[in-house]
Amino acid sequence: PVQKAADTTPAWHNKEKVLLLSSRGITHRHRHLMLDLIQLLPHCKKDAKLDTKTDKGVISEVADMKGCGNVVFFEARKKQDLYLWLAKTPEGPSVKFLALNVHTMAELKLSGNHLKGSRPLLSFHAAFDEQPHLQLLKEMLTHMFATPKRHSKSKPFHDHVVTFSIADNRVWLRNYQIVSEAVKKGAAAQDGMSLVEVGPRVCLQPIKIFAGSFGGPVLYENPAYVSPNKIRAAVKKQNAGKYATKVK
Amino acid sequence: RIAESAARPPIYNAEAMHEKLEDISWPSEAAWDESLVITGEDTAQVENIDDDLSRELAFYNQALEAAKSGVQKLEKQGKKWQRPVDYYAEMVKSDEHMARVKSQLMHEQTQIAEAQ
Repeated sequence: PVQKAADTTPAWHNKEKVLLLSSRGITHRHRHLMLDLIQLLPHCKKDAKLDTKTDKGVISEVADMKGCGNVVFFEARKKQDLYLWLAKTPEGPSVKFLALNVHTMAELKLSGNHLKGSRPLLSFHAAFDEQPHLQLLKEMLTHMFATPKRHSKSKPFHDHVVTFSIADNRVWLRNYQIVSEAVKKGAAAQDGMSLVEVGPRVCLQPIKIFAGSFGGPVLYENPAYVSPNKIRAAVKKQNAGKYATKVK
Repeated sequence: RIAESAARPPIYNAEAMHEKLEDISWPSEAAWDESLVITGEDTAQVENIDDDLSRELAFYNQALEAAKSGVQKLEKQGKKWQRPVDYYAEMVKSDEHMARVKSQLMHEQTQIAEAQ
């Protein structure tokens, strides 16, 4: 490549690409969530379902082949639980989330709509700047959800906000359409602004943050996380012995 | 094994996380325009996450604040952010789906009217 004059450093441009893929055994609702994310991320590439749940190193290789630096991996367990991995490849870090409360765009109560491929405004809760692990999550989410400027599939208008909020040590994702009333000239556009939810909705509980992509030393673990298996077992145990008490 | 995990404090390696953050973060001179990130100022968090209404309202307010300040920034840079009325392009939800949404809304409204 030809070197330009040294004093004119070219402006930095976002060229992130995201690989989206799932493991086998994903449920319909989680598959729809994945399809919704594909709609929201024009800079993503989708790959075939992964056959293995144990050897996740393969994913980094796939990402490398596709030229993606970010991976969103939907790991289905027991045909009901969804673990969501966000990873930077090949150097890491990566995060494992438990995805809860999934609602997809297909639901009729979410009545908003926006252009496919328009670049979203990304809204983060103030709490993201307060703790190191949240700062890391913010940076990773930004890399994944910010549509690169001038991307060939993006559109030059901004008509939706993707919101990441923190509550109860979980990350809540929402996507809203920006509705602006026909404003009179001279009035600020912000005055008549309102939002309509488009979807999808998901609540992500962080489980662990790893230094590498899909592995490596643990940097963070969530003390509040209880595996859904344990919750189900506890409920079962509570309900057990009903018959025995009745007979007595 | 449970006793062991209870005895061990949860891992929180802040230093390594800061290092990782520096490794991956975009250059600081990157224009705001590249990411369009807006961080809120209100540090209050939803207290009762089981209260659907107040929770969703908090998220809505956060998003609205961000949308307002984002639009303000875009306008300051002299950018057109709004889609012109005559600009037709593919949407994330199909017309067919939006028709279903509309009929659902109509149905709900007529039910409310009938109940009154």
